[in-house]
Amino acid sequence: MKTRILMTLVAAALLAPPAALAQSPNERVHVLQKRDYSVKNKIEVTLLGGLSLGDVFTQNYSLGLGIDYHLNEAFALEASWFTSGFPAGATNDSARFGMTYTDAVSELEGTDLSPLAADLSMMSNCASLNVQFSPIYGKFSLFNATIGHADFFLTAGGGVAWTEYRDSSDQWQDTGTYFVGNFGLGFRIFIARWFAVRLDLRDFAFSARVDQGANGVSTKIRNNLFFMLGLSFLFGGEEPVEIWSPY
Amino acid sequence: MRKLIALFGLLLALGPAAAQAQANPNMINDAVDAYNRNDLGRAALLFYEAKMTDTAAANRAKAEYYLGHSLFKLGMYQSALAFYNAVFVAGPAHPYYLKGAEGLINVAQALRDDTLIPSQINKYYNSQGFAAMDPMALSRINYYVGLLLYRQDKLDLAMAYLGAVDPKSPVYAKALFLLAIIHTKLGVRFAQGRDEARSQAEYDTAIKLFEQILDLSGREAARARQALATYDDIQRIWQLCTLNLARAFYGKGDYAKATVYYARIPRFSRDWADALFEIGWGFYMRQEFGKALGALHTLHSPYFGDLFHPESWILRGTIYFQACLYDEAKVALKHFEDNYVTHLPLLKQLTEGALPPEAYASLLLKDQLAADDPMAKVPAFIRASILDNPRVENFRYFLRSLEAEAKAIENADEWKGTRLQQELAGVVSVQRTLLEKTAGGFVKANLMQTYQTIFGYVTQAKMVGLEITSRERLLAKANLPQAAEERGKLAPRPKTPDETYNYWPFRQEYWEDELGFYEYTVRLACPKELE
Repeated sequence: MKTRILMTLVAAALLAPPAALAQSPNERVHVLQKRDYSVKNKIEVTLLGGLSLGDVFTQNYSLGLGIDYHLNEAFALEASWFTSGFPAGATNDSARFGMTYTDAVSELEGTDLSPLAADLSMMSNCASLNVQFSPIYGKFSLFNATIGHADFFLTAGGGVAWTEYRDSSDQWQDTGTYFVGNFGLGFRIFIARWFAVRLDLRDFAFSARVDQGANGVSTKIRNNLFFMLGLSFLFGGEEPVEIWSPY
Repeated sequence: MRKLIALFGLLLALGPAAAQAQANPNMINDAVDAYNRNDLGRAALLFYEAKMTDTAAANRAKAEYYLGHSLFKLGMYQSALAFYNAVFVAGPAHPYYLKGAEGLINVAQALRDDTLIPSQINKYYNSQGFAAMDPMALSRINYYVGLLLYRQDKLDLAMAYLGAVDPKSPVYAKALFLLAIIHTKLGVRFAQGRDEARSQAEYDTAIKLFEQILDLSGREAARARQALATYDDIQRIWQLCTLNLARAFYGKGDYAKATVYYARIPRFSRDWADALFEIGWGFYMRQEFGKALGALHTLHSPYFGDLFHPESWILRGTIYFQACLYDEAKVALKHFEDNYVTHLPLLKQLTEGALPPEAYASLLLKDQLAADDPMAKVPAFIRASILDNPRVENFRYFLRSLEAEAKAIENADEWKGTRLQQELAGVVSVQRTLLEKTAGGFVKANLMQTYQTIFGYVTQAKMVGLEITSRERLLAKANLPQAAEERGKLAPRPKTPDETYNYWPFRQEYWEDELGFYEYTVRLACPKELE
């Protein structure tokens, strides 16, 4: 169901309709309009930047690349890759910007509330395949100055996550590669036929396992919620036919 | 017009009389020197004196033409016109006769005058004499004369002049366009005379000509750019060709093609309102009432405000009548009554009153009207419709040009206190008065036309009203419900052609991007018993 969305504080109606056109019960007025921003058969390449939300002990800053193929206006397949392990190869905590522990870890150390090792396992890289479903295409009036177009989508998929854990010497240790499932939602705000801004909220669930040697193995199913902002470039699809016109 | 000719006469008469004054044999040479040095103010003054005092007729003739030419180069077109005209009306005996004619046409172009100067050229048109003229200048003359004759409804003659325009001339596309318009007009006439075969032939010729003009673009951007550099106003002509192709197909009765061409007029372009109204008729003729009402829905939206389109309300009423939606038809007719018919008494009073022509000119020439100006009474939307005429911009341009010229003459230090300054100031002043009268006449004619247009539709509205009453009686006699809601079902909503289309229901909220995409579905309320 496609619908219009209204931005808060925005008067949507351009002008009040004249009284003579008050609709009678014997007629209906419809708008049949070619989509300004059709995505059918388009390939969308998205550069994403994001951060994890809501985890007390860990904080990810991620970069990502998504490639979507829009099968039609409603469904797309997406291959994506995210990384927090940058700069690549850096294992020392002071040199790695994409993954860090919050102050709560040190503050709670030695207390009953101290996190398990598995709580501190973080995704350094993730590759996944998703199916995207866009049931809503909407438009909004921005201060009556311009009309914007957006679509809302749901996404779900699965893939592989590379996990790491920071040991007591502040060195990041590889803690294995696991299946990761993810689901989320987002908006694609179209700026041009070839360009959009994307907002994604996505939850990654993976099995964290940290082998601490003599201290045993710590495991846990972890959920990492990410908020991501992306710039999308759209290629292909139905190009508008450029007919020469004197207008 | 008479005053202008009288002024030309006066200038002609001044020439020989001036010969009585003292002659300076070097005057003409000094004038030519100044002209060659591009000291045009000085040159004009000396040419004027030479024209008035030189004893040699050849020098006086030369001075007369170059005086006009110097003034033209100074941008004093109205003043130049007076002297070019004197050269031209002197006829082939004048050594600068053809150049005078070319000068006139250059002034016509500079002043955007497509009436007075063409009329003067037409009066003295000399096909033998003009044969030696530069073909480009002659083509321009032929175009202007053709245009004038078209306006005088001398269509055969107009076609002869327009057909003589050289294909290399910048006015070639304009000439073709006017020819196509004439053929369309003839198509209408033959159709009215029930000569269907000739009517179709005229429309076909018009369509070929419109296509020929569009072909000048090669229908692609690179060639179109070349054509833009070659032909006058070609872009606007191409736009008008699209609209007029639609009209020609409509005239032929090919409503399907007509609607295709109307739909090519881009949304929000200058011709869009006309296209919406006319495509409404096209859909109506194809019995596509939903699409016709959709086009009118855009036309009647707040975007177009109080656009003067009385007939669109009659069309709306007629469509509802055809769909047996009598209450809706009455609402449309009432809108026409309330918003148009109510202005008839005022229009009648304004056009039948004893106002002098110049009193009407303020509507056109002034941006702000004083409260006591009779033209301030003209409703804003009627004024807007008059100002929408492309000729209005020409009038305004002409007025601004005259005002600038009067100022330039007054400020020319070199001419202070001279006879030249006095004479040119007189020329411009007379022309300004004439322009005000002409503009006033134009406004008055338009107000009368507006009155007649509305008045004409009053009869149509009454006819539709009577038909509605008659149908309602039939419903009552047949014991059928008067309320349309009880007589049929609403048609289903239109299908979206494919998933790349959006469907939005209209809920009394106008979105600018939706204008032009409306479509109605109406209740199928015509009872079988009355069919």
